[in-house]
Amino acid sequence: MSADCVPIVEITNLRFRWPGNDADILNIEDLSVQKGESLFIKGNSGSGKTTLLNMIAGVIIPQEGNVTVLGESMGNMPSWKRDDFRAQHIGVVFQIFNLIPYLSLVDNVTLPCHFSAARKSRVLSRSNDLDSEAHRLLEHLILDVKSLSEQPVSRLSVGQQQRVAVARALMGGPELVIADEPTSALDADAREAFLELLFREVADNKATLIFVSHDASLESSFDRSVHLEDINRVMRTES
Amino acid sequence: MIILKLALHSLWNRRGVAALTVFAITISVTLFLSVDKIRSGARDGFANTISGTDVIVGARTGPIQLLLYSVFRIGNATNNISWKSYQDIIKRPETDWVVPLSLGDSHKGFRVLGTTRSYFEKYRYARKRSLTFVEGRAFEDVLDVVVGSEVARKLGYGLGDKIIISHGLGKAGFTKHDNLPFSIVGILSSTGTPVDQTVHVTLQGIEAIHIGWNGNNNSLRNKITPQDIQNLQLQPKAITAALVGLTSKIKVFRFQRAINEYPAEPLMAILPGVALQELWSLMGTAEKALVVISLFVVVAGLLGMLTMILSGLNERRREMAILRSVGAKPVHILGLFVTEALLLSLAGAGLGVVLSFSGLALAQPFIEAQYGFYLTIASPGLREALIVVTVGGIGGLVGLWPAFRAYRLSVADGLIVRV
Repeated sequence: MSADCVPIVEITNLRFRWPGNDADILNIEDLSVQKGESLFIKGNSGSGKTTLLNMIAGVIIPQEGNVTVLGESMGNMPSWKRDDFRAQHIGVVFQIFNLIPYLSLVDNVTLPCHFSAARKSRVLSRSNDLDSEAHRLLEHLILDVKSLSEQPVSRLSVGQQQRVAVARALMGGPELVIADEPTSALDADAREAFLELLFREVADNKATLIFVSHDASLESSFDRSVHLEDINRVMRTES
Repeated sequence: MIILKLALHSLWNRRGVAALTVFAITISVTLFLSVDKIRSGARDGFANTISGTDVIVGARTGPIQLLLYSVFRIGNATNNISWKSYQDIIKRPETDWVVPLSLGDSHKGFRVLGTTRSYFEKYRYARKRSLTFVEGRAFEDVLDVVVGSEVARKLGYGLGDKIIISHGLGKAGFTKHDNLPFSIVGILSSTGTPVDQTVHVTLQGIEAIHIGWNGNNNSLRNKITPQDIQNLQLQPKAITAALVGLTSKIKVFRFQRAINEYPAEPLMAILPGVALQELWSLMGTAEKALVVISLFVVVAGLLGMLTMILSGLNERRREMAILRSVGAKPVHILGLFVTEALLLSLAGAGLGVVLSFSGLALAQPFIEAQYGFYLTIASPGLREALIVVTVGGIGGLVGLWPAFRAYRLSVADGLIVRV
C-alpha cells in the first residue's frame, strides 16, 4: 500500500441488524476510503446509508465484522471513547436543521472545540481564538458574519445553514467529514455552489469527504462513487 | 462549562415557558417560607404573651385551663381563691411579689380584669418588656379604669370617658351596673398580647359593682352610687388567680409543692413556660398540617417543571443529535437536562426567598395593626440557604427523569433522528 493510498476508513465483513429485527440491514464485505479522497455513496432511502454513517461515526457498532477509522477499530472501543474519537476526528453535516437554534452563529461553529481538546488546540495553533477561526471559516464559505449574526440562526436560509454546518464540521481540522444528503434541501444553483465550496474547504483542510446522497446527478463531481445497492449484499438477495 | 452555557442559552430561548415554570416554583417556595415564618413568628408571639412571672396560682383545675383564663382571658375559672389563701400566698417566704387577678365581668365584649397597681409594674411580656401608657396613668380610685390599646381603638375611647361595666360575660351582659360609671384614666400601648383587649379596674371596683349581688344585701342592688363607695368597706372576698414572682428561681418547685398541698383549699400552681409549651403542642397538629400542605405545593411546583421539560423532549431530539455529532457523550445530554432542571428550581427557590421576605416585610405593619401581634422577621440566613439548596437539589433529582429519557433517546437515535 503506497503512502498516498492510506485507507482512512476500512470496512470488512460488516453485518448489522437493528435489535428486534429479523433481517440484516447491512451486509458489506469490503469498503475502504482513501485519505484525501472524496467518496460519493449513492443510496436510496431505506438502503441503510444512515446506519452506515452512524457506524462510521462510531455511534453504533456492527454485530459482525470491523469498521476501522484512522487505523482504530471502532468495535474495540468503549462507547465513551468512540464519542471522544468522533469529537476529535470527524465532522458531520446533516441533510437539514444542522444548527442549534438557541446558539449564535459563531457559537454553533465553535461547538466541536468544546468537546475535543485536540480540535481546540489545533484551532489555537493557527488562530488567536476560537471565534476568529470561526469567522475565518464562515467568511471562506461566503457568509457575512457581521450581518448574519444579528438574527437567530433559525432565520438563515437553508443554503446559509448548510454552509454554517460545513464550517462547524471543518472547525479544528478533523480528518474525516461525513455529509448526509446535505444538498437535498437546496435548489440546483445553490447545490452546485454549495458543492464547490464544500470541495474547496475540504481540500484546504486536507480532509477526507464521505458524501451520501440519493441524487446520482452529483456523482460525477467526486473522485469516486459507490452504490450502496451494489456493495450491500442484503439488497442483492432481496431484489 | 459548555453544558452550563448550553443550558442557559436553551432556557433563554424558551424564556416564556421557563419563566412560568420558575414562577410556579417561586410561588410554592414563597408559600412554604411564609407559612414557616408566620408559624415561628406566631409561636414566638404566643410564648411572648407572659414573661417574668415565675408561677401562676389558681383554683385546682387543668394547667392549660388555668393558663387560658388567667393569661389569655379564654374560658372561665371553675373556682376562686379565697382572700385568706391569697394573703397566705403573699406571706410565704419564697414570695417576692403577687399580682391578683379577678375575672368574670365584661365591657362590650372585652374582658374586665380586677387587679392592683402592681399589675402595671410586674406584668411582663415578650422579653421582659413592661406595660407602658400611651396616655394617662395607672388607676388609683375605685372607679378608675385603664383600657388596653385594642379596647381604646375599637370602641374609640379616650381619657375621661365614662363607661359601664357589665356583670357577667358577653356583649350584652346579663345586667348592666349602670348606677356606677367608671372613668378611663389610662390607655396602655399595644403589646400584641391579650392585655390589649382587657379593661383593667381595681379589685375594689370589681367588688363595688357586685354589691347587692351576693345574697344578703339585696336592697343595694343597682342603687349604689359613687358617693356610697367612699363609705363602704370594699374588702374583696376572693380572687380568680394570682401571678407570683419568687425571690429566687430555685425556689419554684418548693413553692409549687407548697401551693399544691395547701390544706385549706384545693389550689394549683403552674409554671407559665411549661404550660405554654403544653398548650402550643396541642395546636401543633394544625401547624404541622399547614407545613405539610405547603410542602405539597412545592412538590406541585416541581411537577410543573417536570411537565415542561418532558413535553419539550421530543422536539429537542434534533438538537441532541447535533450535539452527539460534535462529540457530546450521552452523559453530556443527561447533564444538560439535569442542569436545566437545577437552574429552573434554584431560580424559583431563590426568588421565593426574596418574595417571601419582602412580602412579610410589607405585611408586617398590617398584621400588627390587624391582629395585634408583631411578627419578628429574622434576616434570611442558613435556614433559607438550606431551603434553596434543598429545593434546587430536589429539582435536579426530578430533572433526572427527563434527563434519563433524553439520554436513552440520544443513545437510540445516534446522529439521525428517526421519527
